Amino acid sequence: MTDNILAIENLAVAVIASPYGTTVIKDVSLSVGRQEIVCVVGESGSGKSVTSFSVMGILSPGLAPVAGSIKLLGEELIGASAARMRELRGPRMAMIFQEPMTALNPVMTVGDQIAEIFRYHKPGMSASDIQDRVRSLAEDVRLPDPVNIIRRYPHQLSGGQRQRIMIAMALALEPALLIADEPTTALDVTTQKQILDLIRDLVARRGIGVLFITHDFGVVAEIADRVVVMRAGSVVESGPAQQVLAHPQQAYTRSLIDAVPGSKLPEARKIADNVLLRVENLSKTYGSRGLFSSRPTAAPALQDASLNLRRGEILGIVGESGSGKSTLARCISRLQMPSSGDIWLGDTNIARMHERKLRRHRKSIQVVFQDPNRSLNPRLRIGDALVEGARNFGIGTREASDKSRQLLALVGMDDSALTRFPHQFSGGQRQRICIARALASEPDILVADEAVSALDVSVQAQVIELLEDLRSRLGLAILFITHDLRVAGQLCDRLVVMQSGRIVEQGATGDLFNHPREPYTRDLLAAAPGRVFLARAKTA
Amino acid sequence: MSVATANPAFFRNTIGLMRRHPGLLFGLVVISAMIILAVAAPWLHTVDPTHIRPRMRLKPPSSEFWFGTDSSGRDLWSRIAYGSRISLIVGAAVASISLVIGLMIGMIAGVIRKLDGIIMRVMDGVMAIPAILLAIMVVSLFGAALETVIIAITLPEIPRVVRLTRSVVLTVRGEAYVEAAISMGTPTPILMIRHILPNILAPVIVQATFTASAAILIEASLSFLGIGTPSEIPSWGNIMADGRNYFQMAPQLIIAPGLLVALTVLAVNILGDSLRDLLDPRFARSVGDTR
Amino acid sequence: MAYFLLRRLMSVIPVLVVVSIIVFLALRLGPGDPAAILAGDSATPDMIAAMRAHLGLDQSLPQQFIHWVIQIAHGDLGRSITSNQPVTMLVASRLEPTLALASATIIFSILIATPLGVLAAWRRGTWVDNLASGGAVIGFALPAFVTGYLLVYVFALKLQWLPVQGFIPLSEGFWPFIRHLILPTLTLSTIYIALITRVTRASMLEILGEDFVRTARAKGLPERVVLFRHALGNSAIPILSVIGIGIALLLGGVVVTESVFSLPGLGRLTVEAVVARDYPVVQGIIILFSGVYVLINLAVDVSYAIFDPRISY
Repeated sequence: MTDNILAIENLAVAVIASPYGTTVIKDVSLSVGRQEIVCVVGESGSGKSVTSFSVMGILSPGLAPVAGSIKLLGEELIGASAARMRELRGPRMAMIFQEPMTALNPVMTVGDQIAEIFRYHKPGMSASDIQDRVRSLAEDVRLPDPVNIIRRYPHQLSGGQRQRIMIAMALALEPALLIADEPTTALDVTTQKQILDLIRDLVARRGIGVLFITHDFGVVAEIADRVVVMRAGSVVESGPAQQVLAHPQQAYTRSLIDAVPGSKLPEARKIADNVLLRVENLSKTYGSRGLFSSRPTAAPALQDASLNLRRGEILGIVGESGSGKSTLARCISRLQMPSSGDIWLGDTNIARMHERKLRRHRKSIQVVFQDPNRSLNPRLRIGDALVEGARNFGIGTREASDKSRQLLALVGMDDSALTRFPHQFSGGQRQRICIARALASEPDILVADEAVSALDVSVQAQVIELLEDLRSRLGLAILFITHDLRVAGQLCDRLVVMQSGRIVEQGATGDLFNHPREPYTRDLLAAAPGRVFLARAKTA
Repeated sequence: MSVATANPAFFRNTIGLMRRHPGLLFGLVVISAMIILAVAAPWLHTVDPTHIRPRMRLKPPSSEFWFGTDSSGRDLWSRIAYGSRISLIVGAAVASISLVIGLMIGMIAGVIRKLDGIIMRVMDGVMAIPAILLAIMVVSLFGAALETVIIAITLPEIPRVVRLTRSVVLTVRGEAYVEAAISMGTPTPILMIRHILPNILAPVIVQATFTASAAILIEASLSFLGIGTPSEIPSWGNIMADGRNYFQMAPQLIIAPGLLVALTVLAVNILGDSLRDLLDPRFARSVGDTR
Repeated sequence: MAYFLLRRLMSVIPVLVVVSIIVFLALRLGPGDPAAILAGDSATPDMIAAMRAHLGLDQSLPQQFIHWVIQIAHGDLGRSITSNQPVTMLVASRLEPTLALASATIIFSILIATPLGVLAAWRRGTWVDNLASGGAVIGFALPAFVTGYLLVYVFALKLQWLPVQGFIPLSEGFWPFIRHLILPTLTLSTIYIALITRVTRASMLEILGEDFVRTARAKGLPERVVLFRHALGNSAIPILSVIGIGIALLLGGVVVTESVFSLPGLGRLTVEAVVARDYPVVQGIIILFSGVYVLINLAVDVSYAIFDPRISY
């Protein structure tokens, strides 16, 4: 096809530093046409980013293409000189990245970072022409107050604004191809929607082709014209988006689509009115103390939060970054002391209890953290980690170690784990171990703070299933904190929606999804990627 | 049986380790050689290092005096061999004392926030005095003796250990596994011993090797200036101090002990670098891990 | 801005207080009676008692300390025991060689070490890197007396290009001044260059792995811009801070280097004073050096804000 902007054929990339020549990706073929968005989907380790870095010629040292061809507007890129690649990056192809905070140079103004592209690619351009172009680019990506915003530094902008700057930079020299590597993964869901809209709009207006890397089939459903599914370095399936989404040919694709949270709402269950935890008017303000500090104190991170949690109930706390959901969770689990308000655990108020007295009550509330890589002591064997909680509450060594075997069985792992160290397990397994550890002290309440956010979708689905299973078997109450409304919708009986430190709305999951009362809840629901598609899948 | 089967594997692993970290091998070999020299000095063609022979002043190297003699006719090789003892003792003593004291103060500062401010201000103050000058001041006040020299060199090294310990403790304290232990009701002393100490030990031990090399260097400098180890004790610095006036006639009086100081310091530093690469995963990022 | 400077200046005070307490206590609590020491070896008990009253040693320790600090604040560091000259005058008369040596070393080291570190990081794993990193490791282990005597042996004794030792003041001619300064500067620079090269290389390596460097390359910028503008600009703070902390090492090295080359500077003065048990002079120099160290690090701290907009006043 002549109107292909990008054509990759049988590409293979290998670790050249290794004597074994380990291949990272092989036999990858795909193409991107004009005014087309092609999504490359896969879990971590599928090779989707390596594919995009190969096109740009910015693979990490040690990796190199060993076979196949990459043609950009008919020009072969494999074997092209470094100087030629440098000439192509910018005018012909450009890239935006996952984390706009780290992808921008922190010590240069964002305007300068756009301007230097013109400075080095178009040496003839005058300074005032460059300034005009920078400003009009900022307008193009819908940045508010473009004149002033381009004089700021990256840390002075919001995540969405930074990603817009990245897009402006990418579009500066009007490239034919835009590569977007998980450009919305680090953003809040409402911002994600805006960025996706912007990309779609730019494709329509400028006729560029986009190679869009993502792990989220919800995003695919929102934006893709065509889909390429990758797994372990190879293409599994590809085709028009509608076709792949509705009728996946491969079982793997099917399982990925099914694993997208929110495909189904849980059936409303009857829960006895047995309140375990009552939170009343909880507030937290981070004070800046110090002899010479005269800075105005920050806005409260949490304000007047009240909620109830009943035995056997999963209560979801949903909100974007900065909404105060994590502060709420940390106050309830007393990793932080709230500034005011009450936390009633039965008839004890633990809100401002002294650490020494609190220790006895800690066994009732246990926490599972977000990052399983950092929540296990790297120098402690799993067996030792599992008995710690029980031992703290006066259970004998033998009994505690018997118990840790049962706990491992409960989370679906076998005894061989006991003598191993955390680094010998995968992320999903580690999260299971963390859950087992939390259960060691036989808590009534489990606080899961973004406990599935760092996991791949398929693993995520398994951990969610495990939590559901534990709830029904042990009658556990779970406080489930997440930024992902779709996950919450799938798992939780009731939802609490938070924004800027306050609870905006709470109610049964079904009611909240079908009849949101607050405009913010409605925005959140509308922004959840792939909702329309998933709703259709549900009725089908 | 199990010992017999385990041993070859152990040796294979050790050899593999040495091949991957040649610095480790170099450091260990040089330091072992120095220790052998220090321990076996009496049997290594040496004579009494303090024996003065007025008729044999500044003799060039010969089969009797391998490195020649100094300005008092003392055998240079014997003095160097025995002098290695002082460097090694000072290096080991300063490193271990400052490690233990620094680790304790640093953990207190990192865990008990009330004491943090005052401890760190004191440490900042001690660090503001250049190490050699602080050591000079202490030696000049308390008189030159080996113990004084060790204390004088240890004093300025303690704040460095304290600072490092404290900063690592603060990092580790924020880790989720420490928070998990807190939420499991683990008492503070157990928290420190089980969860914090093992995870801060690696960088602190690496720092201790650098402390040892700095101590060897400072002891040699002080003695070279004539204000360190008492001049009647043969130490590398004292040998050089003695040779300063005869440098044009007998440069080996300075060059030989000087290069040995350099070699020892180099070996200890390289050992420290290799240990850091080995123990600290942050420095051991593998190639091609981006995806 | 003014507020930040004020706060930063205030933070220097506790450090200086601790330094002065250490120096003060070292003399007062050390073994031996300072009055007896100051009065000299042949003093009678009456003379010592008179000296005690004269020094205010009959007062309480805190009183003595405050009295002493007020004296220092007025620029009075006491008098030398051996020459009876004011310590400040003694220090002033020995300032030039030390100042010349220290500033030449700092400038020379930064000019050599920074580009070397950048180059080593850029060409990681090649012979350039191995040479620079290996050289830095060796340079860091070479004591000043070894480097100094080796340089003298080669350039002064064998080649006879440069003088063996000594110092010529700037007022007696520029070239003689420079000629006498070259070997001491090279000697003192060795360890400092090693230190800065290591830190530059390490922080450049870290920065070169950052996402924004990948962005800069993805924009098609020339490698020199990626390296010096994007990467080095972000490495400035660790480099500056090691330059500041290295000042302590440098001041210590001054003492040894001046001895090797017989430069009549503050380092030699320190050694002479220690040998003569001239405590007021030792005290004065330590306070001066510590003050310089604190002030330079204050300047380094304040300059962070120039290089990093995230550090706000």
